[in-house]
Amino acid sequence: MTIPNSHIILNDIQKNFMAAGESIPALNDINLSLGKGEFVSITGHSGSGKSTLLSIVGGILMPTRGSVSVHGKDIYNSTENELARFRAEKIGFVFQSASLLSSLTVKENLLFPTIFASGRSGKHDHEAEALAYLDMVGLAEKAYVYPYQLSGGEARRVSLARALMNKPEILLADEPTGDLDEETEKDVMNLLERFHKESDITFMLVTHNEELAKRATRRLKMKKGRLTENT
Amino acid sequence: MNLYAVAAKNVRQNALRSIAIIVAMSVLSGIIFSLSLIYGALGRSVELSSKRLGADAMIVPAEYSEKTEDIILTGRPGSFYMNDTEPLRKQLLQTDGVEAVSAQLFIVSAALACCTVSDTMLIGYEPETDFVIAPWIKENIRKDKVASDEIVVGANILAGVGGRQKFYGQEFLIVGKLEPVGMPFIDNAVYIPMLGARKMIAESKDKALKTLTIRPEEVTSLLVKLKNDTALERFAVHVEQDHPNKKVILTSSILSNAKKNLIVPLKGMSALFVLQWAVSLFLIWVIYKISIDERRTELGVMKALGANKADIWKMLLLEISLLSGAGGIAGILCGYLVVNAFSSLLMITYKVPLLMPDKIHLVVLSFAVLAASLCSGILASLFTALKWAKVETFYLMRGGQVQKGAFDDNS
Repeated sequence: MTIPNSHIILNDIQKNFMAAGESIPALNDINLSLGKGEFVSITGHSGSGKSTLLSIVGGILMPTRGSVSVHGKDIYNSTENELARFRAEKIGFVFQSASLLSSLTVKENLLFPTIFASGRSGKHDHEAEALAYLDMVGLAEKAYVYPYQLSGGEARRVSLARALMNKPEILLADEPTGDLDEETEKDVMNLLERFHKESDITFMLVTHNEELAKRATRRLKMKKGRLTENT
Repeated sequence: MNLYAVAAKNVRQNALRSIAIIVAMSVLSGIIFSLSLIYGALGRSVELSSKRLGADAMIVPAEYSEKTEDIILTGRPGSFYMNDTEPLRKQLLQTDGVEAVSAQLFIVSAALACCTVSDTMLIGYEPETDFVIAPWIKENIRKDKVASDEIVVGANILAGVGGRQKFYGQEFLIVGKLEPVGMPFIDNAVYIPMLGARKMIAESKDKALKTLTIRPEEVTSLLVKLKNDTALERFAVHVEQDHPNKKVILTSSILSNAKKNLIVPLKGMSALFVLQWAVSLFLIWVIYKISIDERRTELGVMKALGANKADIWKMLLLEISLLSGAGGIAGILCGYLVVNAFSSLLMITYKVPLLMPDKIHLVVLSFAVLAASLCSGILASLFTALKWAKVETFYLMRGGQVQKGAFDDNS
């Protein structure tokens, strides 16, 4: 699964969790390479390790063994601060739940990641950018409302806009349409596809929905912690 | 958008938690501020009063010793007289260790005679021998001798220098005003040269509604200044043995006893304060812990979006600093208002002089209490902030129940 000039390379990834004194493998011998701008979907049953894999790629969970390289650099072979900056500057997350910060307005939620990206703070007109992203997801009129005033679909779209604020190289979406109705699910997926087409983002989508997975250019399947190509 | 703004929004969002922490902190800082203010006011007032009283000892009729202490400590005007003082004065001046002796005459002003906040004590002094008010006049008014119709007034007398004041039909010119010392006996007093006082007494029959019946040889007390190396207690015993109808009141004892009157309950309050401080810290810790525990998923999201350990730690500390600061300021204001409202009651109840600190000291004390509030708040939240700041993002986002080490097998 190695692609020449790969953007992301997962090498021999192993992740174990301890439960009741026993080491349970969540991921086994994962080897994967993704080219820049690829749209990959990962499907699999609950507990198959999809979210764990996405978290490892996103720099929020250290593997038990193996390495994750982005642009040839092992992201876990860096300091905590470097890893945080990597997340801020290179990764856009769309989580299982909308995960908006409840004390901030919609616009402020979009502005939040800009605090941590170097070169993104200061005089840059983030506000205008945030409003443009909100407009793009059709929620410009909701810029000044709080997350509790949004519907599930709206919150998910805000989450998507927030993931794009720092112009990430990698977009990781973990069940982005998990608890949405069919109509809203379609809207969110259309948006994701549109963003992917309009940019050079490497896009990893984790879903249990086979129909959504089919939209990806490359389909992978997780089963009991092992990754296989789904052709 | 920056972390300060996020912290401020978090404080506003969590109104109930914020109010609870602000209230707990304001009680804490209010108590620290009030106690410090009273301690400071007491110490300052005792020091200034001690200087202003000037004499080391006051010799009064034995039966009026308690009344004298009451007059000095509460400022309630009162008078009594003794008429056989000349032999005693001569004897005192020949006694080893005595530097100076001067007489004073207490006269209670007629009701509504003077424009003070409370009753006024007229104190006749002998400019030739006085060592209490005369040096002040020399230093501040640069007059070797004041005329018999010139008076010096305490800080609470409303009329100022250059004003004229009538007592028992006699008009006096105010030539000096003393600085406040927090002791009503001094702050409400009017110092009249003995000659002027005697004239006022003599003419009161014709000029005033109330006639003063004080005989020319009568005085209220003899003030004694001792040399530095003289033992006060031994001097007092010696005089009282020779003159059983007289009592020697040591001014330092009056003030130290007065200080003790308030210090004892203050010490009790301080002990309670330590308990209160511990309880408040515990309450703040519990409130803060509950509120942060509820927000751990959000903290995880923040870290996933790029916040590092230090950012989370900084944001949480900013939140508690804002709350502690607000509580501290509220407590300082309340403490100041309460102490001001009840200072007169404290002075009467405990018979102590109290002089509120000047503006600079008040500002310094306020900043010190504010700093103490901030430190207490940070101390109470330190453990929780540190704990959640270092938990790995993945586990925070799952509610923090699964913590690194316990469930993460990275061996």
